[in-house]
This record gives sequence, structure tokens and C-alpha cells, in this order.
Amino acid sequence: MGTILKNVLIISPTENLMEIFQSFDTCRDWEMDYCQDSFSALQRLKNSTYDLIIMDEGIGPLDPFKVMDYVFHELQKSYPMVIVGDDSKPEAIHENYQRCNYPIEQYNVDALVHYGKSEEKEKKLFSLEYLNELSDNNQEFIEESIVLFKNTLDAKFVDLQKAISIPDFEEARQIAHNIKPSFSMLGNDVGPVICNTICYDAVESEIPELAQTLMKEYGLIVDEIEKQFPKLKAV
Amino acid sequence: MKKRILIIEDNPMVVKSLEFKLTKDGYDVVVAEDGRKALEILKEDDAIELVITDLMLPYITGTELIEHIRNNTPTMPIIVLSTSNQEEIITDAFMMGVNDFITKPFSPNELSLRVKRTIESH
Repeated sequence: MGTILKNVLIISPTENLMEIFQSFDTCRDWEMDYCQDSFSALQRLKNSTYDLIIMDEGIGPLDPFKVMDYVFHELQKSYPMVIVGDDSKPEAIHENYQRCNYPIEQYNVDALVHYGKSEEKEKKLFSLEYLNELSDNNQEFIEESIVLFKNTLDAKFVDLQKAISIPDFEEARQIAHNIKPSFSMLGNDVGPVICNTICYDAVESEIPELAQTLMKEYGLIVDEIEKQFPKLKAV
Repeated sequence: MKKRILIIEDNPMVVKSLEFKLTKDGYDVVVAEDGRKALEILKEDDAIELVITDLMLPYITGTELIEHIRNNTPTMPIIVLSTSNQEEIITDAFMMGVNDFITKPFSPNELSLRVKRTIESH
């Protein structure tokens, strides 16, 4: 907390919101990027890093909460976020974002300046946080999900190797798309990034090596799962 | 009587999670792992009140499936399951009249709220 803000992304249907912040002396050192809609903002967020994201409540086609969800789950980035709206909801600091209302006052800006840069998410092989949240710590569901992760990915990696050996890279991309959420649901940060690269960015000649890296990551996850859940080893 | 939801998704972990959460929320859940099976279910089961579908499916793509549903049951609410880098496809889906979308892996509370809102508004 307390990090000085430098790079700020403003997402708003009009440039008014950016102009409002530009009018405050406190913001004169900010380097502001402006996006008119949430899709163009997501494109920008894929390639750039920001200290703060400020969104007008009325942005579309994805509303601010969908943007937050996408940034966190899909881009796997964590930014301080602010939603600016009318006074139909109170100004407040929530777990994942701050809300402030028009008209923007100096105290709003001061609060944002001290709304520090989030720590990068700790890299880990897997985490049961998501499955715990989803199931209210239902151990049976969690263990079944882990077994499902192992069994379905074992089979999918056989298919992936087959697709690469043919080679059928379109099929390889489809498989990567299919298995990506499985990595995400087990809280692994690396798998989804590799899957995305195979799906959308890699040229065909890069796919075999990426698939090997993905399989290696999968092997590490399984090893770690088996260490923590020895009884699932033989399942 | 429980409201019935058709899930069309080919990742077993995602299916299991959706089934678990929606069943817990009091819905009756039917699953199709591909678009062909989904069309069969929709043809035979007129109690389906909501479709939740992935966009990249075996045999029939999600957009083809949505088009088919829109042509045959125009008022059927549809929620799309998406992943990253699908902005263009999601935009197309909205143009075809889908009601909402949920990003995989979904937030459990958000899923509950969006499903409830979509069903109640139809």
C-alpha cells in the first residue's frame, strides 16, 4: 500500500472521466491510457501493466465486474480497481475494488493515490482454494475433482501427443482450449498461460515444445498432488 | 418443481463443478458433452428452462448451436461459457441473442446470481 501511482488505465464511454482526473494536480504525474469500451481495454491489459484501473460503471459490452473477473481469472493479473458511478450505491472499499461516485472530489483522488499496487499472485503448482470455495469444503467433491483432473488430463495428453504426431495442429489447439479450465480450477498459474499460447499465439512449429512444457507442468502438479494426497495415488 | 438447466460442455471438471453448484442451488441439471447430444435433448425435453453452453464444442460449434436454438425456441435463455481470447466469438454470440456469459472457471456466487437473474427475467 502507499505505492505512488504512475500508469493508470481509464475505461469510460467518454473521455470525460479522464479529463476529470487530469484536472486534479494530484494526478499530473499519472500516465493515463484511455479505452472507450471494455473489449479494447482487455486487449490493452493483455499487453500492458497498470498500477490502477478506473472504470465508469456504464462501460460495455462487459460491465466492470466482468472486466474484473476476466482480468483476474483469464489474464491472471491482479490490479487495484475502481468503479465510478452515480450515487445509487454508497462509496466504499470492497475486497477487490473501490467504489467512488460522481462528482469526483479531491478526497476521492487522495484515496486512490494511496490505493497501492497489489502484490503479484504467489506462484504455486496447485491450490484447492477454488474447489473449497465452490463446494464449501466438501472433501468428497474435492477428492473426486482431483481424480477427475488426473484421469481426464492423462487421456487428453495422449490425444495431444497423437494430434502432434499426425500432425493435426488444429486438434492440438482444441485440446489445449479444452484442458485450460482444468488447470485454472486447480489454481495452477502456468498451465492456462501455455494453453492460451498454444490456442491463440503459437505458430505450428512451436506447438510440440509448448505441449512438452505443458505436460511437464502437469507432471509436477500430479507429483505434488500425490505427495499431499497419497491415498489418491493409485486411483 | 425444480427448474431444469441444460449444460453443454466437454470439460468434465467444468461439468462436475457446474452440476455440483447448480444442483446445490436447487436446479435440475441435464448435461450434454457435445452439440449433437444437446440438440437431441432439446428436441425431446421441453422442460429445459435455461441453456448454459461452451462455445468450442465437438461436432457442432457453440455459435451453430445458439443459432439453432434461436431458430427453434427463440425465447430460450442462453448463457455462454467462455474463456479468454474469445472476445470476437462472444460478441458474435451476443449479436445472436445470448442473454449472458460466464467466464471459466466461474465464480460460484456469480454463477448463482447470473443463472437466477436470467431464469427470473424469462
